[in-house]
Amino acid sequence: MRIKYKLFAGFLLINIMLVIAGSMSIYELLQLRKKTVTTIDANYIALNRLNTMLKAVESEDRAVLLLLLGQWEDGRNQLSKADSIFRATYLEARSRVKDNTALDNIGNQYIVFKHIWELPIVDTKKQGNLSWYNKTFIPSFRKTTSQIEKAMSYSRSRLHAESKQIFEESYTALMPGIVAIISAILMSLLMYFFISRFFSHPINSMLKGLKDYNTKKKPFRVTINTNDELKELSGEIKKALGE
Amino acid sequence: MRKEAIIKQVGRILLFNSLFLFISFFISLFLHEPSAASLLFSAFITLIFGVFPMIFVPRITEINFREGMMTVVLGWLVTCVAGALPYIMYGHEFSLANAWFESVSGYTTTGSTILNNIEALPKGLLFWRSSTHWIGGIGVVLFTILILPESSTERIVLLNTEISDLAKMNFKYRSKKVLIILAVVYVGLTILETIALRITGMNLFDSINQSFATIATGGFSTKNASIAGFNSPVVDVIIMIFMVLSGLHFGLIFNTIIGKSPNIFKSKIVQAFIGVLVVGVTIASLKLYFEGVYDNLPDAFRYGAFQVISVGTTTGFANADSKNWPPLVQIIIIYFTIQCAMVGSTSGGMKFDRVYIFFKSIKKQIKLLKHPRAIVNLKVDGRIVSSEMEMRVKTFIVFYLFIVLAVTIILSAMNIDLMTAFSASIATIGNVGPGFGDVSSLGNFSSLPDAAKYVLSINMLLGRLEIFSFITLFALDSWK
Repeated sequence: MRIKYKLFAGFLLINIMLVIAGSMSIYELLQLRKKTVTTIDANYIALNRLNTMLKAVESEDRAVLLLLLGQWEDGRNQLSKADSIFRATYLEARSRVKDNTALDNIGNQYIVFKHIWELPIVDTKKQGNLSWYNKTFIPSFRKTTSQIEKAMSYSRSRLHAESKQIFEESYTALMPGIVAIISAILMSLLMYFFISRFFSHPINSMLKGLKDYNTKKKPFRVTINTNDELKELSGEIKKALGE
Repeated sequence: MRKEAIIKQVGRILLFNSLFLFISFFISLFLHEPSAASLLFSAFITLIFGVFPMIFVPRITEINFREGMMTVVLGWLVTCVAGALPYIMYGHEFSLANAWFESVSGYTTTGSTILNNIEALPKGLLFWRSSTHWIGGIGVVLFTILILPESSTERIVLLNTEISDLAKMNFKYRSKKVLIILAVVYVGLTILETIALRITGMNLFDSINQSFATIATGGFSTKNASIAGFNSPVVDVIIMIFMVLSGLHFGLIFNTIIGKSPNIFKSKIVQAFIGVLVVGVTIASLKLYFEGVYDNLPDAFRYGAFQVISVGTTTGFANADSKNWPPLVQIIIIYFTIQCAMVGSTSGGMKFDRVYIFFKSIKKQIKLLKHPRAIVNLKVDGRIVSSEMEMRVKTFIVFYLFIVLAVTIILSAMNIDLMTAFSASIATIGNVGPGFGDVSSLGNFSSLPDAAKYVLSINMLLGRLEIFSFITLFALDSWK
């Protein structure tokens, strides 16, 4: 093989390795970036929705207190508004997450909770009845908020677990770079050794041979066993010197 | 010493490894596994490092003994580094120490693992893990002979250290023929076992992986519970048969197939090896039965025989946890961990042939005590063993046991209990795999400190390279 092709092939191999390592790192980092954004978005939106549901239920609690005080119009308006916010948020969450026990539990509990305040309160025995509020309404309200808080807690722990996974995956993105750096150093050392052994050494041998021929009239006895221009050069020198 | 000659040979070894890395990558790619990227990158790195010397180093027709020995030792070390690459890049349970340990354990066919959950590993990496066994198994038999020049007297010197019939056969056959014999037996046994396991209903992937580990006398299984995970007496019997075959001299197996002598039925050393195994199996199984570990005799024999054969052939598979077995059975297993299998097989460690010569030498010394002027020859399968060889065997055994002791002390200094330290030491230098204590047959080495893993990795390499070859690497004058 000609020297230029040998050197080209050597550098090409180092470059191929670096390109592969770089490409892999870029690919892994892009995947990681996508996953990070998806994870943060999904969990942030989920937590936001659950918070909206919690606020809606708390608003319903305040609306029921208005009804207990006999303020029918304000109470029913607030209840209607809070209920529509809750249902819209819940349905949106449900459409995005197909299989979620926590959401199912919230939905089922909300139906029970809604059934309590849906029935008339003003101008019935319930108006001003704190005993009904404490014994019937509050336990159901607490159950509903508790289900929402459970779902929030689940979302938070999922966010933590997914973040941990992303952290572990960042290792995969990092490794090709580290391995490539170490390999490139080793390859450079190998390349140095080969250049010194198969290019510098034969040139120095021929130089010494020629010097000895010129100054000491010693015969040119240099053996080059690399199958390239240096071997040809050695042969041509021998021919020129008539050996 | 011509460094370029060594680098070129090591490059060839790396190319062979990259082939298996690419196969593992394609398995991962086909199954859409997360390990595909790490396998592909490792395959490319190994390929590039293998091709690099081919470009620059001109054709080398002959290498000398020292270059050959250096190539073998460096080849093993570099291969182990390449083997650890996919593990390091995959991460999870593989820290740097764990990846190195798993790779060395694979190539040296030790079979000790640091994995707590083997079944969670992607199939591509599982295949790579088994491949390291298979490459290591064939490597130790083939590469050592392959890289040495056919005509050199050093080659004969090296082969003479192998006192079995392989050395004798090498004078009859040319080296190429010996290589073909070894390759045919190795590949043939692997194919036969794969077919046999497939017939029992085991899936193709598991069959290939179990076969790779059996024929290489490795011990990496695809199940967390090793062979116990398949819970099949037929599978146990098949694997037992192939473990015994893999522990025998490959040249003798080949002679048996082509109907030549000496063969496995006529060789005295094989008869002795099988005889010792049978005695060990019988005592262990009867003890297990009479101690009430197993309710019936067939079960006692099934588990007793499997564990003894597995350790006695240095495979290291398990179909039961021998951690709580009676002390006598544990001592039998420890004895077989030290004794190991035959020279000329894929097994590592002390090797039965040396133990055989050692006991014959004791017999010879007793005879000489009775008749001091008598000329007593030590013979193995009709061939006289020279005094020089006898001394070499004794030196090897003493040095081997000294290393076992030294490693036990080092591990104990790391606050590892004595049973774990001692059994880990003999199990790794013997390339057996499991020991007792924390590293029992169904346990693993993950709980050991990183420093202990590095020490045991060196132990595995010492056992695989038969100690002295490994030491030559660190003898500075070897590099001159």
